[in-house]
Amino acid sequence: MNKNALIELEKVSKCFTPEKDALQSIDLEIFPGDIFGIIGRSGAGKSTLLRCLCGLDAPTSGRVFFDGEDLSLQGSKELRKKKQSMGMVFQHFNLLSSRTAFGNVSFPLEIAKVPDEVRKKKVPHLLSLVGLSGKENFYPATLSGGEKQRVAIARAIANDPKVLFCDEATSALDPANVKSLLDLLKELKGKLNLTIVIITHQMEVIREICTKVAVLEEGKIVEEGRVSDLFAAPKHPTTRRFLHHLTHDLPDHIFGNPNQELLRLSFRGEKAKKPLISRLLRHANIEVNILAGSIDALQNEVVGHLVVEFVGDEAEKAKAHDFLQKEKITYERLTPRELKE
Amino acid sequence: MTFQENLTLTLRLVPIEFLNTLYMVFVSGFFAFLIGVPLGVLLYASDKSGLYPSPWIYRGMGTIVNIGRSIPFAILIVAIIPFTRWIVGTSLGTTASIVPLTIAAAPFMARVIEGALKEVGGEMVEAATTMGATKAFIISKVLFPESLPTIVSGVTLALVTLVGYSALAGLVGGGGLGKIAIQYGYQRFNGFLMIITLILIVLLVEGIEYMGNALVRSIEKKRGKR
Repeated sequence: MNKNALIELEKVSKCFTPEKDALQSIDLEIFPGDIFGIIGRSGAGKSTLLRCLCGLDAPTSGRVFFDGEDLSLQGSKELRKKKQSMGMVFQHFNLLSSRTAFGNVSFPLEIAKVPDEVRKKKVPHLLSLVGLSGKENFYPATLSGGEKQRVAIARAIANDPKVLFCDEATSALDPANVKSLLDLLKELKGKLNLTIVIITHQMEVIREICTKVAVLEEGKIVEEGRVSDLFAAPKHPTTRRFLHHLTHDLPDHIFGNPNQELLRLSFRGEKAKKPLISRLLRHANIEVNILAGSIDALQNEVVGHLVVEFVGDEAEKAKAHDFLQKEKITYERLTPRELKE
Repeated sequence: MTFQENLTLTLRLVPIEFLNTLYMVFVSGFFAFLIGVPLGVLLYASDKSGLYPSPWIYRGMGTIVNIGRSIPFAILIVAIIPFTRWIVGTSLGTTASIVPLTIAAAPFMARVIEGALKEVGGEMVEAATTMGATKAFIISKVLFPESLPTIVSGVTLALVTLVGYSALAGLVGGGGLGKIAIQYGYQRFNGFLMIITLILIVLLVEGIEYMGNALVRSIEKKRGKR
């Protein structure tokens, strides 16, 4: 096992029925300070994976290490202790309706047997960290969705956890709330030295906040790496589908010209800022039609995509390709079908 | 009997028997609750989605509870006379009838508690589990507080049922409004006392329901749900 990893999965499998494994031999390393995204469609095994990560479920085979210790070797008492150094935020908030915001944040502290006087000081501090000062005595039913999730985050960080798990934490919120919640997570990560693991089906969430990402499909990790690498050059079809729904939803009638050549150009970092198309047109006598484009500002890099149509004779198109290669622009030819996917 | 005589009889009998009814209903309700809470927790916990799934305990407990609920109360009173005598020393009278009333209401309470705890839902339990809570902590600090409104309305319903059962205690020498209804209304054809008794029982049931609902409403209002 890797000594530096905070969480490490070693060949983790989980099966509920003998026919099919919900998770198939997953290897995963999450390092301190990562904001690690796990993305997959519903049924891909995200929640099962998270339940194994946080010790809620034991894997059928394989091992889960947290902070250097094998979770399966812990007795139930030690495991409960370990769980107190993990925070969890849920899709449906799961706040206690019988307790105020104060009571909800105080709940994990009571579990950890933190003395009364400490709790009375700490809870208001936690609520102010998530921007809810003054809402101590509000019951969850009187708070908005975004505020409820903030209470849930304050609760999750109450015991100063090493890792914060977010299980579709933004899925039940409207876009404005999603943005401010993700900003809050980023801010807390900086302040509290957190490692964050985010389970989501929204690529926007990965783009907005994650440094690393693993793509889960049918219980397997099909692609994994730095978010900027994945955005610039996605390899697996599932990853592409996740990425391209961000940009493309093109109508059918723009396809069908026989001289048409469809390309997706990708550029990263400095290249994203250069005026590529106008220089291309000076090198090759073709028509360029821009069908879609995007520039994503990720955590540590800018990644741009352009879907273009080249129309012209073969010799001129070849010149255009030469130019792209000379400029070291990553590109790929697409069929209309690939573009629609 | 003249109206005057009826009124005198009413004032002599009704207040004390009304208090006897209250005494039977609330004391047996209290004991039934005390028995019902652990039984309900056991049923909740041993069910397959519970904290300690155990099909044998669940089925065994469930069968006992269902048998308890299916025996008609009039038969139960008679059937457990030896047990009643062993507990309170006699099988006659108001206090003695608390024993069968308790036994009749306890299974009902158990199902009330079980149903209320189940209503809280697995997500909340799981959330507490991920925070490292023990099962006892989850039961006392999550399940009971969360299901309090449901428990209160279930207990209200149980008390109303007990009012009905307590009237039958009059059959076997127990006191209460049921005794008046049987001795004066049924055996002596005294329509006046019969109607007074009926009105009081209806008012008692209404009163219990009103208080129960008011309590539920105030809990929910405090929690911002209304």
